[in-house]
Amino acid sequence: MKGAPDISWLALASCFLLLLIPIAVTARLHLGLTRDLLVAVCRMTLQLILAGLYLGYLFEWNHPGMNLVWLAVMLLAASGSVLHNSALRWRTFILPAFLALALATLGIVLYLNAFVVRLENLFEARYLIVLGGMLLGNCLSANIISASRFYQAIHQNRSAYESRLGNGAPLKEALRPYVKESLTAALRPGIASMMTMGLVSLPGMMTGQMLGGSDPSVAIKYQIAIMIAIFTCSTLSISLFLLFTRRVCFDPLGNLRSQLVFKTNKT
Amino acid sequence: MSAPRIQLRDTVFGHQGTPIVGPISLTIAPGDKILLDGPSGCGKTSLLRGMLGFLNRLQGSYQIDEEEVSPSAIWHLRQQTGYISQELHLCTGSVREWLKETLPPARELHETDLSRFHLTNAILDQALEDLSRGERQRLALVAMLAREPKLFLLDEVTSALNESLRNLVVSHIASTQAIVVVISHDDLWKESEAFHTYPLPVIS
Repeated sequence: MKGAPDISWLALASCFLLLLIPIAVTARLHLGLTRDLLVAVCRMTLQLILAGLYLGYLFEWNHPGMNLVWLAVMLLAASGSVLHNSALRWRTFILPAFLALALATLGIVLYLNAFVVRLENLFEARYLIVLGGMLLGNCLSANIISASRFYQAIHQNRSAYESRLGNGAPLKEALRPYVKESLTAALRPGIASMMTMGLVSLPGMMTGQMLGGSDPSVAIKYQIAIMIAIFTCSTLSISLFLLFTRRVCFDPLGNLRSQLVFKTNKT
Repeated sequence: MSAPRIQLRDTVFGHQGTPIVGPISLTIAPGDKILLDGPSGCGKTSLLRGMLGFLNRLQGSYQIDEEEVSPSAIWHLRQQTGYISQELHLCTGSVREWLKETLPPARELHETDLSRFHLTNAILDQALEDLSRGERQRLALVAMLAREPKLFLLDEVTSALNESLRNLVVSHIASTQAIVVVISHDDLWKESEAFHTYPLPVIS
């Protein structure tokens, strides 16, 4: 089966003409988004050109150590992004966020490589970096939602939380409703997305593979595997993140250390 | 497990270095029934929160059973405590589920527990959010009594009850062996012979 026909740089440039439509809409309605839109399009283009260059280089070199280093760089960027977009304090959370994402992502990717794709080299760049990146990209929003919800819910419902502790509940038990609420909020969109997959949406990876010449029956198998992997990775990374941060964010009496948790000082 | 003996000497509780309540000198011995008195905002609720370790001790001494408090002593005190806060948080969901989480594993509520404060078994199948404030207060009291704590810390637990129910609650709480510390603007507590009033100093 033939791969997708290459797009010339000139042809790709013609695609940018389509942007005249959103630019016209945002300008006409004074949405104040035109500048952000242009910056975002430029960044996306530049970042993807660079990604194409380094991925080509990494695939060719295919050194397990280098692949892991690259995955670590992606993890660090992902952890930073989780925290940048939340109300949580960078210094307190960066290490637990990194470790939670690293353990979850690496564990799931290696499982996929070993038992699903059945690779001989589990650290093969084409799979380790691409699958790892895809898991990270999809777990990020779940992690942001979950971490912020968890700590903000405890802060906002301080009296209810203290009531549980004051009646003798151990820390783990007093935190349970907030863990449940934050995990539910983070995982629900993933469940909804799986419900409608293939009916109202054709996922990007599957369509990408088919455009690249893969047989649809192969593409759907990869898509099924990646959807399960994304959901498992989200659940695992959120659970680990909450577990790792619990020790730092609560004092020995179970009180939330707000000054360590939030960017702005909340009392 | 005997009831704790609590001693506060010139104690000031606060948050992030800011004093909120105190200085307080108060000894609470097994069997004591104390009504905390003082104008709104003088720190009555904060004193309960301080005793439970939710505020920091900034000054003075705080002893439980003759020993200066440690985190493990506070966790132990909480296990012996029945704490009903003013805001009365019972979460959401069914009453039955909430009781399962709240009560010790082997303990179930019986008809006699509920009828003590004029509740019936029918309440077990209701949703917590559908209960009136008065029903929630009575249910919280019933559940707390079923846990048989040694120390009751009660913050405005009769504010939504009618007079006959308030009388019932006050006389029942007064008849228990537990240590009771109550915050209430209801004169029935003050009129009960079992309770003595502790006027809280206003923080300067």
